[in-house]
Amino acid sequence: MKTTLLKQLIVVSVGGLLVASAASTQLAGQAGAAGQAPGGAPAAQGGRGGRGGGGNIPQGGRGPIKVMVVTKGHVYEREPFFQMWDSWGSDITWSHVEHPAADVMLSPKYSKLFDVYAFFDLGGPGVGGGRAGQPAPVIPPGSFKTANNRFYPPPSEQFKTEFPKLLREGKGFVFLHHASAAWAHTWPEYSEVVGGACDWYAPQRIRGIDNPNHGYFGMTPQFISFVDKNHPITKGLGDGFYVTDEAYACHWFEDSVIPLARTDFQPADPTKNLNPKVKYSNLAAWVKTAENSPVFFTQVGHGSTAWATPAYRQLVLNAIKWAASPEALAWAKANPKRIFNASN
Amino acid sequence: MKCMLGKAAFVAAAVTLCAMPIIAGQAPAGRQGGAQPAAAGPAQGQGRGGFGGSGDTRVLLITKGHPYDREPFYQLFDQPPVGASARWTHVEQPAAEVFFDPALARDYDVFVFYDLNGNQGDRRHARVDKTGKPVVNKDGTPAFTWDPPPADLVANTKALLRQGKPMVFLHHASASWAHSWPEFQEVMGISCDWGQPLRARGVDHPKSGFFQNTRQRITVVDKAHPITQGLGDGFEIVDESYNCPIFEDSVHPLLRTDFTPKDVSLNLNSKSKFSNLAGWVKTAENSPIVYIQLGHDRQAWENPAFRTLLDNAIRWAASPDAMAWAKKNPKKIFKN
Repeated sequence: MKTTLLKQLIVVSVGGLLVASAASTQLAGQAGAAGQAPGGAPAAQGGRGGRGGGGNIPQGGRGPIKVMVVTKGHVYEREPFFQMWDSWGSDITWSHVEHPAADVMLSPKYSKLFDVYAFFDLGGPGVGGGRAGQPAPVIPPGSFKTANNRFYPPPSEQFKTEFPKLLREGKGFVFLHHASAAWAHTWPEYSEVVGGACDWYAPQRIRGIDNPNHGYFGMTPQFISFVDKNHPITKGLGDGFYVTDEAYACHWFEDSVIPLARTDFQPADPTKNLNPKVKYSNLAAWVKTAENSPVFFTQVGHGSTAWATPAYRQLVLNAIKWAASPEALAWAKANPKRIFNASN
Repeated sequence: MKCMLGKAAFVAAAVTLCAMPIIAGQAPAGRQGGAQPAAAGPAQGQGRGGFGGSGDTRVLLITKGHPYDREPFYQLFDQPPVGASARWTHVEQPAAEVFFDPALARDYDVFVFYDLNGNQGDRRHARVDKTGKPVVNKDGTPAFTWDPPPADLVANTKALLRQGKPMVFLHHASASWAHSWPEFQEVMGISCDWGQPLRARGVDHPKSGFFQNTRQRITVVDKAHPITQGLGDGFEIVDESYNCPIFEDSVHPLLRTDFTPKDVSLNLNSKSKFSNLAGWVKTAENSPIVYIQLGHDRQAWENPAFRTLLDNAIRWAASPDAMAWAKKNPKKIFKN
């Protein structure tokens, strides 16, 4: 029995008309051999066991802002992550697309499908060189080899060609947490889009500066302070919020971003993770532009402790709404940041 | 501790914990307290053999449009046997439609459908009469009209099937495009809608039946087919059954259920017979097609026989034998 469908009135908004459906057994299928009571509904609607966004919001949401959510390359707690997205379901409709399919989608050819592209991926993840006694790993062709024998595949030629065009078109981009490590060795322009770069597993050269492995500090209790309280993303959220989450010591491009939030976390010895020429940055969220597109990044958001923090959810939802807004798109077009060669 | 994914780093074990302590970051004084990072939760299939599978068969896993219990469904594909055969990429609608373009579909060996496409809110509209009043079906449900599939999707689907792309349809995927694309129903060999009356092959039916938590016996009716290997005579399963129009004359039966609805006519035209088919193969243009009615929730997904069945289906569909069989036995579905 689709019990949840019987327990709650599924209200389907169609063309401004609210249609009550599947609220009674009259609308149901017939009882099965196992003696189950019938249930029924237009199957595309309604949650199952509360697995949608709550209330009458279906899995994937049904809000006006269309978001493509990109993952793959770094593991995460899938269900609580997706539940966070469902919780925004009255504002957004979201579609999960993994690499390498996401690379194809990040093109003006398909941009009419989405307003905002949100990244919780790690594009081009490294592969270890293998250890004695273990099967030799498959090294992707054309990989960049690091000093500690890790291999990082480059983005496809098509992706390298199309992504700049998408940025020039002007779309909303939201990057979360470990998305800052995507293509860090193989596509420096991509790091410029995000506003920083990370790799916790290999030394890297970022903006011509050699760093040791970056730092990550799991389950760190910290206070995130809003340093721009008037931005649409932070407005009304107060001074900041407490969160227990993974902090980083990565190479952030302070001079290329507009700070929105900073953490009170400080690594004990930043030189373990950063070249002494690079000052540790406590940036926790920023906005910037990349070509003609508005970009938001927050370092916060490793796992369910962050995702369950109401202030974090509000921050990211605000960021999505901002990135989709005409104001943000106009701001980006008026303040474009040229990153890619014109030939791209 | 972080866990990184790299296909070459995959090992077959599905639930091996990610172990990279050697390159862990430094612990800030008084901050870490020995707590585990959130991504180390047990329910994510985060072993290197999981989280996308470690096999050679490249699967485009298509969902959206029907809710499902996400995490155990993904684990079905992460873990052996499926996760050892397949390496899967999850793409939800409407993005999945893009990959029907044969040039993009090339990156995948098999499409696996667990979506319900064509019935989204923006593709379905309340039917109104001349006065603008909502029309109600005979059974009291509000009536709708459905948009036809986009022209490029139709053209790409036709081209893709003519190329011979293998496709596996699971459970509620049988309701995709039930009202506005009869050829797509012919691709699958079935048409369902559990919320609305439907017309299939020109015959009007009441809304389809679904019967959750049905304890049933699945009998293998073709024991020689590669998809039924390892299933013996059949298996017991608790799963959602359907009563939908099934095009028996167009499919090659593999499995039948012993479930029979008490009153067939509640969900089928009175002139139609209930089909107890639970799995079949067929061709659509030059493509090998598999449909498995089973697979509603974890009661099925955690059933070893279902796992074997799904793994067999994916591996068979992607095999040169299946593709050769389909090319030799093409079924013309699209005109022109």
